Amino acid sequence: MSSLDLINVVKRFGELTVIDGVDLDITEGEFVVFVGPSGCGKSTLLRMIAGLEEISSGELRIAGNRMNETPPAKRNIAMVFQSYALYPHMNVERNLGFALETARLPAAEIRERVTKAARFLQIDHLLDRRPAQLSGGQQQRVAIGRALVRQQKLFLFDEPLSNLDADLRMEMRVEIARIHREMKATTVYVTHDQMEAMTLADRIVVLKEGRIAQAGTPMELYERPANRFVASFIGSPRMNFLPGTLTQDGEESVLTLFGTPHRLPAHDYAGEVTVGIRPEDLILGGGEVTLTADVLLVEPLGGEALVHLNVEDGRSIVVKVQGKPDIRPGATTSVGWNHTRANLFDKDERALSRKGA
Amino acid sequence: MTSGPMRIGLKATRARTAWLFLAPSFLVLFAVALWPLGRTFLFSFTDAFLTQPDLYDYIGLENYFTLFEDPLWWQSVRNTLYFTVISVSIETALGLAIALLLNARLSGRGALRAVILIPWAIPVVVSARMWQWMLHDQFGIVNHVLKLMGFIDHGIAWTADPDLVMPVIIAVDVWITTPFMVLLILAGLQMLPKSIYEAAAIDGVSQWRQFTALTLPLLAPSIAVAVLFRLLDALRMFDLSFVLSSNSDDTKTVSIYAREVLVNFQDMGVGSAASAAIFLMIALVTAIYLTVFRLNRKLLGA
Repeated sequence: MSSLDLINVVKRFGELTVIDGVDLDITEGEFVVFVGPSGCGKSTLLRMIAGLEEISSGELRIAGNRMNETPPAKRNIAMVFQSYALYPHMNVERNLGFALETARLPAAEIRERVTKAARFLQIDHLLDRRPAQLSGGQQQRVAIGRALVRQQKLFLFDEPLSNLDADLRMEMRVEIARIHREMKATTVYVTHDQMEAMTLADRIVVLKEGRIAQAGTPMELYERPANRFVASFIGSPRMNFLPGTLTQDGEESVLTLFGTPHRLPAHDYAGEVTVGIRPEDLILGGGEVTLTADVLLVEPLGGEALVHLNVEDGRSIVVKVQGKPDIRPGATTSVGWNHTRANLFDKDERALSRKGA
Repeated sequence: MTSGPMRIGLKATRARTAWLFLAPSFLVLFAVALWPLGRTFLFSFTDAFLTQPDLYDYIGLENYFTLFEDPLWWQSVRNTLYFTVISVSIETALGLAIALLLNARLSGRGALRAVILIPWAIPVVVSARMWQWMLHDQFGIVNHVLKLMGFIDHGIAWTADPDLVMPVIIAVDVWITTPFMVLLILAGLQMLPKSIYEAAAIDGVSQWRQFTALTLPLLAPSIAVAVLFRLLDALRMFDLSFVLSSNSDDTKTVSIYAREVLVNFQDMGVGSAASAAIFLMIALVTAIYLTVFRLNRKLLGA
């Protein structure tokens, strides 16, 4: 196990700054997920940790030692690639053992480690096959196995599941969680799928345009997003946003939504705001703040349903309700929420906190 | 069940359309390849002469006996095989080296790639003439430069010296056709997935081992195809040897031998027998090569 420290790390490609001063301490055994939309720099950051991209400025430390100039092979890392990067001309057994073979380990030990990893990943019946003869999920298991046999202290995963179909993705997600539980190796995992991030991570790092938008536990990010970007990125279906203005009135704040004032606990801010409420926090026909809305569409998902509504200025919002709602498209209803479940963002899209909170 | 007969009808129509589209190319192929080849085999069993090709008798295998008893035929076979093996080997090694160099991230790679193709773009006869002049024993630039640098006192007769002429022809062939090898191998190199090299770098696989354990086996099919093309070309080499040293027995290839018998001696029978033998020789070499390669791939499990 290794700790990993990024200190004001920057990556430039010519004029373009892709990673713009990232600071992050990852403790031993932690499972950290980098998440963000495409182009946010998450894969670049991972490749910088791996040594596949040079670090323009700042420092990378693994187990406390500066690694900026260390070649990938000497960083004691193992990496799983999005494309699996299996050696196409070698069978599964050789793919798994190739790094050990290169490191001149005794043949008996190579066989032992390969067999163990293959059994652990349930690919021991595939050892004679070549990558082209395997399904995507099996190839992914081999790629993970190749990383496992090296028994390194730091695991890097670069979007390992994005080439798999939904079922397999779920299955492999459980598998990766199991591997982490049993190996306890420090893990950095890159994905664009917030669901993977939520289910796997000890800590999620949301990246936006080369900067950390927020880092924290999955529930922290879900409950207290630091800005509108994180609020909209984490959670599915995504958070609803409504424009409003916030004014001060003595000990209270007043939130004006579509011309109607609503009294709120005091905030240290006045001006334009965005109100963010998650679909599951909206209540049909109730709540401390209510709006009238037209029902656009009801999507029953079995155990729950998504109700799409049009609120006053034609903006559409989504409500998640349990069971099957007794409501039809075209009907008019009221929708509301309680103050504690609403997130307020200032005009710079930063989250507002309540006075004294 | 109406769908059964209907499907067959559809299939038949499609087959007929396919044959219709293929017919023109079959016709052309027959006219320019199969018919002449058939005629060549036919004439190889006759005593026809080029002056009166319509007057001939069938004489069985006699032309082949004449051919196989001629020591010059066997020398030209040896010359051809020697030229083929040496030049194709050098071109493959050199082509691989240059392709690897061009595949690296080099500044001005595009320009280099274009420049390297020039020798291959020039018609062989033009290249041969050019080299003939450069290698001229009195006025050639090669001797001039060597003299200036003090390596030699007198001009060397590059294309007249029986010990030098074959190496010279091989060198010029290498100059002309290495670009072709580079191009084919480079195309193969660029198909290799980049991520496996990143995986190998992280796994601590050295550059040399990446080359021997990853690049070479994955590149083998591309190299094999390139070598096959070059083999076929080199086995029927005519122009280079004909221009650089037209009458020397030391560089006579089978193609030159066949032309000599057919045109100079007007002996259509033996000339055709030589042509047929060349055809069979190339077919045999190709068959052996493909078999070995396929076997090799099977053994490697590729």
